Amino acid sequence: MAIIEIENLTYTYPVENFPALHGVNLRVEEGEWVVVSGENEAGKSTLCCIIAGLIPSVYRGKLEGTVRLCSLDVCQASRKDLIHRVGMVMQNPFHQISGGRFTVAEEVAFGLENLGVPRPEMHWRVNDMLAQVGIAHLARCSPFSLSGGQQQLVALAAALVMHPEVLVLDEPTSQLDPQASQKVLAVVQDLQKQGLTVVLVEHRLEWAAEFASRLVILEKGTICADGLPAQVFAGLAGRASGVHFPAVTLLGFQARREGLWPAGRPLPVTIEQAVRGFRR
Amino acid sequence: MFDAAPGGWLYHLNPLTKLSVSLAFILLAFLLPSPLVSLGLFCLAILPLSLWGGITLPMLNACLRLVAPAAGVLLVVQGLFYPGGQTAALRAGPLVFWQEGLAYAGLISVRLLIMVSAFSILLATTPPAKLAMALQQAGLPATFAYVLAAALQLLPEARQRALVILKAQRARGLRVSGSLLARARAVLPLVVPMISSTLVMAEERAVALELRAFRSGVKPTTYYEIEDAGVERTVRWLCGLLVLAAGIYRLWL
Amino acid sequence: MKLLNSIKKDFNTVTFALIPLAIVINLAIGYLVSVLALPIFLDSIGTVLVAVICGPWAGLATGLLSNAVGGILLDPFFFPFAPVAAVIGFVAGWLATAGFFRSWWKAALAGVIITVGVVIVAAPIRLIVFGGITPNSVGAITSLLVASGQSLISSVLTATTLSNVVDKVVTALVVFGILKGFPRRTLGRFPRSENVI
Repeated sequence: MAIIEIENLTYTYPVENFPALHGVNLRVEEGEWVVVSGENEAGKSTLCCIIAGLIPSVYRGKLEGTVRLCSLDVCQASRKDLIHRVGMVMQNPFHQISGGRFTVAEEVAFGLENLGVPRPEMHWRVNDMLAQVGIAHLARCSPFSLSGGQQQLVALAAALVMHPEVLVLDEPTSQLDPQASQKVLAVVQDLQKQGLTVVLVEHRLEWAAEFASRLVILEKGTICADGLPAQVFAGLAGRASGVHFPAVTLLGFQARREGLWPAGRPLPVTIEQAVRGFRR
Repeated sequence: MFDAAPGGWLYHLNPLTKLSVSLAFILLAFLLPSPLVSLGLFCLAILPLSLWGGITLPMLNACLRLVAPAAGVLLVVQGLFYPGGQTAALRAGPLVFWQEGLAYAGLISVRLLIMVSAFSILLATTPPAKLAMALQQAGLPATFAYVLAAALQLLPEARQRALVILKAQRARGLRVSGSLLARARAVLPLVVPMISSTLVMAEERAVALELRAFRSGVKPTTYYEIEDAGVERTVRWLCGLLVLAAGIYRLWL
Repeated sequence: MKLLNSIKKDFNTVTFALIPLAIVINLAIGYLVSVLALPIFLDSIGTVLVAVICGPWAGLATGLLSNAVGGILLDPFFFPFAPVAAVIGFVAGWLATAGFFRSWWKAALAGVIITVGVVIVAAPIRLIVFGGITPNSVGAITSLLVASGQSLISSVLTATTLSNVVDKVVTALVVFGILKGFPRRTLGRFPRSENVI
């Protein structure tokens, strides 16, 4: 069953004249890992907000078409129903910290507090999540004393502690160093294997494409490509789409032009695929 | 003003108890207009409490820093220019210090002393976080408790950042002791980006709060509980009664 | 009932996210200005900002809580002046609703009107709590006026007006200037954005 169903969506922000998204159709099945990419201002963050259930309840504006998350229509469902089904991690680690909590444990517990979860349950859920994300040793630190990477792990734990069915990540690693990025993605990958549906917005496809079961490209507010990463790359190859191809894919593309890579073989997305392809 | 230096047993009390005691001292000092009452409060209640809690030094330090200059100016200005001055207390050349003015200045100064010292007992032994939590536990809406806690947490950092920026400006040639115009000109470039980034940050943080069920309509629970012994509740009631009694006494006379 | 609903609408999540940041602006800029020894306070820019884009009640709350936080973290003399900060927020919000933050000269006028509110509330507090002489620049001006033969009450009133009018006009103009060119998508998220758009 599709966990995200978007049909014919057109959305315009309040006080703006042009829609940020128009004619968008997207179905995501449970357990998929979808990577969304595209140029700046293509509507990636807006799509995140749609999938996170923030539109139209938080950002008002004009929404046409239907959006169903976990079988709930976003125009009718209450915030409370959506909150614990969809989690989101945003770009800036610092802005996501609530700021009103003085220790990492409380910061992670903030969402549960607001849902009125009883204290004992809150304690084990938070401890569990801190351990799972690998920051149990920071539980008593101030969230403000952490590095950007650690703060992002706190944000991730804070989203996951609500036990969402869908996790939306809006360029979660763009402000982190490579090691911290790896750590964040490793945690997400782990959970995705356990059945979590993941939507990751990323313009650096270098490593994102490795994880993705599917790649969606946005252009000027509409979806211009949707499919397996290799297929999408093959379709986009040679035209300006604002998408940063992984270096291996570019290598494969060049190799195909020079006759070193058969035209029928899908373009490589990971190094292993490239190696295997060249060996054959 | 204070680092949360552990103040012995005072540190472990519920912040609301300390708040009630501090407020009671201050209200008593204002309701009973006699410097002797206020001085008595200071010597017989506040000073022993601070000794018992081991925070006398930071408390006296705060008094010296805040009350002493105010008292000095008050004594001079009120002593010299008090409108009802009739009895000369001191003559220094052409200047006359009036007894009534000095007494009035003394009363105000002792009250300020009570205000600063009583709050010191609360603030020197209470981490701001705990105060915000206790207020929420006592019924302050979670939204306003959040505002208070967030501001308490962000301010020290922001002040630090402001100083760093100022230092950088100085390195680039701003003279803090320069002309008024030069200093005024230095402020705007600091202030404008600070406010603009704040609006953007508020907007993003609001989304983060929404995602975490802020104002979801449910009554929030709290991760930690602040202990509140029965004795402490009794003390708070007593404080209330004492202030009430002083109020009635004041109205009667 | 209508009033209650309009207050509720003003206090949305963006407002609650903005208020703590506005408090920090008040106190951090106030601190900066005092380090630079400028003859104004600039410690209510955050309050006026909230008042203009989130309404008078949010402005009032920002003022009150600003002084509570100042009292807790900086010095206890912030507490008695909390009503003054609250009045600044309320009056500014009320003026913004009446359209005072749509042009620069009206914003300047708003600064003057805010000063009137400040004087009415601050003077009694100065007199009752501090005996008229506060330990800052206002107290110094008051002392000079008293020494020159004026009565204490008129000295306090004059000193409060003099020290506030420039400050509040500059504050209102700074807030007006920043909001004027601000991106609409962001502004549109605040409950009273129509006050400036």
